[in-house]
Amino acid sequence: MLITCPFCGARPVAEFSYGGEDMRAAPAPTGQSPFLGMDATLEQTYLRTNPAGPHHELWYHGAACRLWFSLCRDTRTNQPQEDRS
Amino acid sequence: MSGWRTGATQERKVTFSFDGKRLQGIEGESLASALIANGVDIVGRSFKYHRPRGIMAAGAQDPSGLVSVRVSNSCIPNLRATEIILQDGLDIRSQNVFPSRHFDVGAVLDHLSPLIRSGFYYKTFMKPRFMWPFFEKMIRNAAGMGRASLTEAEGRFLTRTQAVDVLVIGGGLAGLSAALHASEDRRLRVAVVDMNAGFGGETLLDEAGRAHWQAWVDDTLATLRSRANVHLFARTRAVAHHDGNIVAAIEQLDAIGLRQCRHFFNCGRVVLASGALERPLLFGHNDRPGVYLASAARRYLAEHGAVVGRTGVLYCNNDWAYQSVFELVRAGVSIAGVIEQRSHVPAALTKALADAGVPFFPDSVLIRSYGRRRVRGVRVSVAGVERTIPCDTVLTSGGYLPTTALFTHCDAGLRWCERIAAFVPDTTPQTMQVAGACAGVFDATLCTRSGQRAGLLAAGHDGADLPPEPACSITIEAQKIIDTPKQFVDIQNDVTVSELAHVAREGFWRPEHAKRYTMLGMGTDQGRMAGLTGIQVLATQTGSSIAQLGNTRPRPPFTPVSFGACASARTGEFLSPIRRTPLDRWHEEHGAVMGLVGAWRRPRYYARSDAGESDTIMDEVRTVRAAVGVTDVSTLGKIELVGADVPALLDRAYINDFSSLKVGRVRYGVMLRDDGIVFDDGTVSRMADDRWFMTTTTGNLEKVLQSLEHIRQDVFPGKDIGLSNVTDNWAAVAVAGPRSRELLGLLADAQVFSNEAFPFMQWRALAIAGIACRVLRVSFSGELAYEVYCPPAQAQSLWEQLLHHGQALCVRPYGTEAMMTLRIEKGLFVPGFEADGRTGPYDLGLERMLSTKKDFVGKAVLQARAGYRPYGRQLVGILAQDSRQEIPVGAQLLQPADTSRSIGVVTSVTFSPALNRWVALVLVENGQALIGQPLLASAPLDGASCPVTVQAPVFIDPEGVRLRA
Repeated sequence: MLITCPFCGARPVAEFSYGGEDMRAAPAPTGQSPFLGMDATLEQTYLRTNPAGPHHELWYHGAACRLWFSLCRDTRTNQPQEDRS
Repeated sequence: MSGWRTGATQERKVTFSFDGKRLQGIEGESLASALIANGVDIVGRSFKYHRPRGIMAAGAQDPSGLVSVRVSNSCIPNLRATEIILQDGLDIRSQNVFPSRHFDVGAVLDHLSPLIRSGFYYKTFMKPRFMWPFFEKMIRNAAGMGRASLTEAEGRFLTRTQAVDVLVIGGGLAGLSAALHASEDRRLRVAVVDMNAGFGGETLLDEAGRAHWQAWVDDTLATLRSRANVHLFARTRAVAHHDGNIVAAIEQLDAIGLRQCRHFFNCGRVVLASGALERPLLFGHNDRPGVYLASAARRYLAEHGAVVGRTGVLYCNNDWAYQSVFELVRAGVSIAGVIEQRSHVPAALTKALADAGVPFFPDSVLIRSYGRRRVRGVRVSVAGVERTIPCDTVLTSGGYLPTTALFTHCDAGLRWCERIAAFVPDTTPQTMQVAGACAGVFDATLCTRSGQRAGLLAAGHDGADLPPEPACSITIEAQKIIDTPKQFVDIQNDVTVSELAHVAREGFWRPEHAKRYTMLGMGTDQGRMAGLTGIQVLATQTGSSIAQLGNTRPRPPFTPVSFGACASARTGEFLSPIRRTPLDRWHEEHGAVMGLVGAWRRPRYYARSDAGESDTIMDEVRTVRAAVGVTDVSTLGKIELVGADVPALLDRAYINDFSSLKVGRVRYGVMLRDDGIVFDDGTVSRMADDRWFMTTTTGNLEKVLQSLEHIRQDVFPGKDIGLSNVTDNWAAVAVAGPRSRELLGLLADAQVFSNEAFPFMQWRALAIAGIACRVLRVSFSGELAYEVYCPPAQAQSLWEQLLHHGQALCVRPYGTEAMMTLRIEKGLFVPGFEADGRTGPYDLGLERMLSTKKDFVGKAVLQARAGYRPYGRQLVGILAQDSRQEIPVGAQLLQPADTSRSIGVVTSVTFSPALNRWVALVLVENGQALIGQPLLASAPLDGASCPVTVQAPVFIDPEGVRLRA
């Protein structure tokens, strides 16, 4: 699998660290989750959208330029997606 | 004893042994071929029912010919006889047999088979529950395949990664044609992989095919070999297609797979020309030795003259299978009949059969085979009338099935093709072209055209004026399935038609469910002969169609890949990089017993001839407490930060305040994760107005860097912050103990070390023994201590001078074991022990460090969870009540009044020379409230239990007098 770093271009996934979902692109917390005492902060921290499809996520190119960046990946195919949000 | 070898061969004979018996074969042929030629019928016993099994197919398709190979004192199990290449002296053993493959006591299970259906063991032996571990042991002994050897075999494996513009998988007619046309553009790097030793594929296995195509194959190969941009890989199996169009392939370089090269092809385009495999037809006792796929019999004959039997019958439903009959007749085999499921076959075939004197039975089914160790006859229903035909061999053929596994690896869909009763590739992904039999094109000429088209498209041709994908008109019918016992669908896993009918009635009728419940399609052959037949049985049971039920989804790898190939050269000390400090050689030369901390080698202690391990460690501890010790702390992570906005970054990273840190001062800080859990600690020294020097724990440097970069880029973009990892720019030595000031004073101006000139938690740039150093007055032991950072090239000089000048002060080096004892006595937590990924700052007693004035990573969650503690554990210390009793490592803590529930766990334990008894740091529920109370530290697995008293987690010098002395 190749990840496209905005600075270095397409590189093997082993050079990167996964940084979890990019919560800036996730839906705003509602504060209504029954699991977390209706707290928006906890919702933002613990609840992830976990979609089968386009997923906005953070990656860190630790083996090279140390850039943090956001990309949209289709979790079903690992193909990068055009940002539709 | 029915197999034999035809023709006088010029090839070199070799000797090998099978179950201790010496046999002869031809060098370079497969073990399966040699066993057939030697008349070996039973190769091993089956997985569940211990039925006798022989070779049934060729190549990776064969489900039953599994053997173990002994190599020196090791034994490699579950190798396929069809894939072992014969060489002199091979020592082969049959497996899953006791006492021998001809007489096996486990075979009694076969008679019980109606009782032991899928799930039987789990359903039956679960009661009484406490007996299960006993039953499990017995069941595991009876079931299964070869046994893994406990000694390591001497393997040689390597991994090779290369980029190719076009990778052609399969070197048959379609693949060679694709490679030929793709490589016409000499700028393109083209590779062809084929799992067989030679190229040319199935077409060359019969007389007619060779007559038409041998010359074309030879010419094409000659052309390809003459092109510098083409690379041919024989005996190389493509096993997986990964995201990013990366194909993994295993090249076998020796007889038994102890030398392999794992290739990764980074491909521009892939041409999948993986061909098709023959499917068997079902009948009762179709697993008996002597039953072969028609194409396999043809292959063994064509390759090295191994003939599968003397008298055979063919059971088929397609035209190709007849070719095997003609080839075998020509070799001298008598064919007792062709049992054809169809009622009409081309007149040319029936005439050829009549010419060869072979009886022909159209519109017939084979009901069952007879025999014990080998087929002795078959029961046939010819147009509704049953009769018995004596024979020693049954050839079956249900037509060909496209090998689409690698296509489905890249998540591309298959569609049901009624014409050939099989799933074929549907939507072709942009990066992959499918050609030849794999695409459902079975005619040889059409295969080359299909390959040409795929090759040109893969080479970047836009598709205009290319002839369309050739339309193949060959048809294959789904087989007729009759109702008779012991029809094995999955030979390797002993899954029968009645078994599948049974699980379908139990509700596991979906193919993916049935697969997991019965093991249909699992195992080393991945059900290559079984999959579609199994789905057909399930479809019949549920009254639906194969197309509706769909295929089970094949996942990588296509054929088994050895762990050796996966690990390649990364074994033992080469598993991961090992880091050495500049003092590593000194430690080694001075008796240090080294241990790994993360990637770093560190001295655990310095062994002495006059004392044991624990005495030595305790001596090192006493030296630090009473005099002075030195230890190598070069492994600490070091980060230098530069810029006007660094205080903002530090404030965000640490829970405590850093913007107030003055030049010349050092501050201890703790970092949290996003979710408020303690993650790392370290110190920051302010070097100058705009320059800071940070240390992290040895193991967390990379994660801290990652976190700091995230803050820098995401929270403070465009701000004046620079950070760089300077871990390797500085070696470091900790000088600890009441006489450390005296020792450093001998190597520099003694005055600068006075308490007034150089107080606790400050740093100075000083020349120590003439070496420019950064000296931090910090302590990880509770004693007066300094960390001396120096250029790596001068580390050994500094270290040796410290030891030399300190002789009068009784200085000695100490290792990580003594360091641990010292920090436990002082109650200092470390990530990985006390900060175990579940502990927050409150649990570790850090609440006073939490800044209320600023935002920091993890603060929002701490606030949101205020008053809510999921684990509610607190760091406290425990003391053994009896001075001679040891606190067990990792013990659970129990209330003496209620030993049924653990209320905490021992995180770090040591003998304390200062207190002359065992002490430990523990995380325990409401620990602060328990101070002064007795508890039990219990390790039930060892039967050890130690009465302890809870106390504050600092065992020595709680006021910090020594620290600030």
